[in-house]
Amino acid sequence: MLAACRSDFYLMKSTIRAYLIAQLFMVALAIATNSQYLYLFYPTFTSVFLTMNASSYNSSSGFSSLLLSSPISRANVVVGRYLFLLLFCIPTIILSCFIMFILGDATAYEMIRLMLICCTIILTLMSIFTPITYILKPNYISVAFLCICFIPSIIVILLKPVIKRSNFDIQYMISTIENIYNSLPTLTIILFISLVLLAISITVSIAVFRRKEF
Amino acid sequence: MNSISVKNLNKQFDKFKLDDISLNLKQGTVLGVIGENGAGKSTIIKLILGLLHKTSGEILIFDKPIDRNEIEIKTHIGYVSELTALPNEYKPYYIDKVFKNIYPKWDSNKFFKYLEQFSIDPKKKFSDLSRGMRAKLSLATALCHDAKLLILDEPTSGLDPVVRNEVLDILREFMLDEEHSILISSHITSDLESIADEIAFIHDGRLLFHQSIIEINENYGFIRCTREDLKNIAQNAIYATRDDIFGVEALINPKKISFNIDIAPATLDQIMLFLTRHTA
Repeated sequence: MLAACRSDFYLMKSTIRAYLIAQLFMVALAIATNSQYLYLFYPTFTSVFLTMNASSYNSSSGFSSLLLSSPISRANVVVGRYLFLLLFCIPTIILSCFIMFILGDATAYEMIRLMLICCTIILTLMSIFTPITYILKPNYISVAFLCICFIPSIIVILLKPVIKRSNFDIQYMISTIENIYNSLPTLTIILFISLVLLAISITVSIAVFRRKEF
Repeated sequence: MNSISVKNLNKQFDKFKLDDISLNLKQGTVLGVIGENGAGKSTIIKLILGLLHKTSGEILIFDKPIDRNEIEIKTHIGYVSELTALPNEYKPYYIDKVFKNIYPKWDSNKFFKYLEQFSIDPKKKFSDLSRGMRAKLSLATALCHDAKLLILDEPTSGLDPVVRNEVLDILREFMLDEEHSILISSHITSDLESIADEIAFIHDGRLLFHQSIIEINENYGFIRCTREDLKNIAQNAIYATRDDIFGVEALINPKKISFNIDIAPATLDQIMLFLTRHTA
């Protein structure tokens, strides 16, 4: 499992370097503009891009065939991929939150709250996107990712007139979400749920990858 | 002991079928798999390695079913693929970093020694390596974990004769150990003639023959004669013929020729060409 994780790391080494440079730039920009959003947006969504890149690098290079001809099980290759993504994304987000705290852009409570929120988002995104990279052919992966990213916003736009006509209290919904995000115990429960989702995602990915042919 | 034993192997694709293939690779020997592009050579290799899933049949490696002993068996296999390509930024020394944690008997010193022997800079980007160097890098990877069986899918394809010869020399050196075996697929038949003990000829997903080089030399001959002379040869001695402006060329079975005629040994190229393109 660690060997597969290491394999993905070396396969993606130059990409990781580029991501880290971009992340440093975003942190500098966040410090200059005093924006919590800029601190966290990039490392959170890196998980999506990294998942996509790892998959396309493997399929375009034929490295998967070489790896699977060695004594490593397919399940280990999949778990190794998840581990690699987690080992990159989670420390990056923790580091970003910690920098916010050190520089006084967030209190200790806010730092922990933001860490929990971002970790939950990362785990959820990873749980949704990673099995897709195993299910779809490489050509369709980026299309599927774009659809998943944009379809929710399109649905919201389409539903806007309906929401306006009905008596749905959107302000109440937003304040409920804010309350959830302000409660550490609730966030911890949501994080736990996203971990369960991750476990299901890993199981699905392993089942798909076992049937895959190279 | 058989290094590979394939029995009644079938694989069904949408537009191609690998049909009832049976092969044996004895320990200490080299089996060459020949055939045109798209004949099914790579499919057989991928099925043996578990990269493709068989429709039916049995695959034994070191007399054990690959499905149930995959990890243990693959510890002793070195694989070289024609298509092994890595991202442009990938460097040869990364291979050592990755595979030393996968193969229990991976020898880093041996790997870097091979790189030195092949004049490959371990820190050079993959995109800067020539095709020959990439092939040698693949071979170095396959040879550094004490493999008993090498499976090579078109290892010399696209290489110049000098590099091809170097690769074949490495394979000959590997075969000095009696426990070692090689399964090698290629459509460059001259390479196989110089290294293989047995040849399996695949055409359109079917096994046309699986014979030793000695048997092939005994069973296949090549003649050039006139149409009239050809009529004197028994029909069951002729595998295939080809007309040209000077007369007729024929692939024949020398054992079935009773009269005196100049018969040249048939090359694998001629056998491939006649058995796939021409009829008796």
